[in-house]
Amino acid sequence: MDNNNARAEDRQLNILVVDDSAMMRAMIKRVVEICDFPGAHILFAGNGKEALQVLTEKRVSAVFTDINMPEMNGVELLRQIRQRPEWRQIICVIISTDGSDARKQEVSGLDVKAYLEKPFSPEVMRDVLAELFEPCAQA
Amino acid sequence: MSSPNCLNHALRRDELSALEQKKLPAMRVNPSEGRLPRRAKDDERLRLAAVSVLETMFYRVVEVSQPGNLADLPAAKGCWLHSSVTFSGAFSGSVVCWLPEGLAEALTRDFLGLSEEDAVDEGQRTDLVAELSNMICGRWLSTLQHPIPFALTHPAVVEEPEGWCPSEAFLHAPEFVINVDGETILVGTIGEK
Repeated sequence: MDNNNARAEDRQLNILVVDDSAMMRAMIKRVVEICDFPGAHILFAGNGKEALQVLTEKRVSAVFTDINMPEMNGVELLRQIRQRPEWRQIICVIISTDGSDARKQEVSGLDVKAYLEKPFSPEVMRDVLAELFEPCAQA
Repeated sequence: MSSPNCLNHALRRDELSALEQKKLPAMRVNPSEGRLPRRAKDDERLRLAAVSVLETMFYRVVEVSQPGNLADLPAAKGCWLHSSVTFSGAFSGSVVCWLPEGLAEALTRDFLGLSEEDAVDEGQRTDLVAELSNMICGRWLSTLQHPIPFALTHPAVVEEPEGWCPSEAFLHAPEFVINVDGETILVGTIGEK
């Protein structure tokens, strides 16, 4: 990678969306595009295992993950992310139908920045994105 | 943006909030039994979950009613799609939904912000029906507040054969009917055998 490409990648806000539903992935992508954050770029994975593969290949700023997924669920994915020092700065957000206290307790030590419970309106997602990324966009 | 699913669209939140704030008693479950408790069969929270999903994520104004005579329902546009999500935890079972493919297509457009001119393919329709049942099931189980979280399987979606009649769904225990713009969604639960 030459210096220009490296600088371009540094400015890119790579958001990894991890969900086994193609419909949810498309919906989240659409909301991120509407928000129009400078440099925002969406990456996709269908489960935790695929997400780990993407994380090893790309520089990712944020992970938006579902919980119930085949192969590797979102909780295990977050555990693995937090175990790797080079990934500790990644902003993690959960998007799940499971908003039970038990589930929230399960992820409480994993530095989750936001917990979005489905169903949610696009406005809620937009607000979460703004809170998390507007400081980055202004920097 | 022409879709009803636009960011500035007004939500009918007042009624939904009022419903969600209703204090419902905790459901008692015998963990050793591991089956869908009888009370879950008429649990208002399942109805609330379905209404919440359709109103919040699809901006649809919906009406819930008892199944009544399913044979009297208006004819569906196209075939019926059937989705089933299996869950396990303090008790096990499935949440099942049926909806006409025409309604599935309309909901797909809402969800993705597509216009009438945009094509919706079979895969998108199937994904939509799967995600709809997944959200209803997950939302419902979440409100039960069990100390151990439930695990959900990926939804299975099948197309009912031509001529399939909604009254056949009664055999699989649909608990309520949701009317969406003159079309119908059937929702029910099935306990573990």
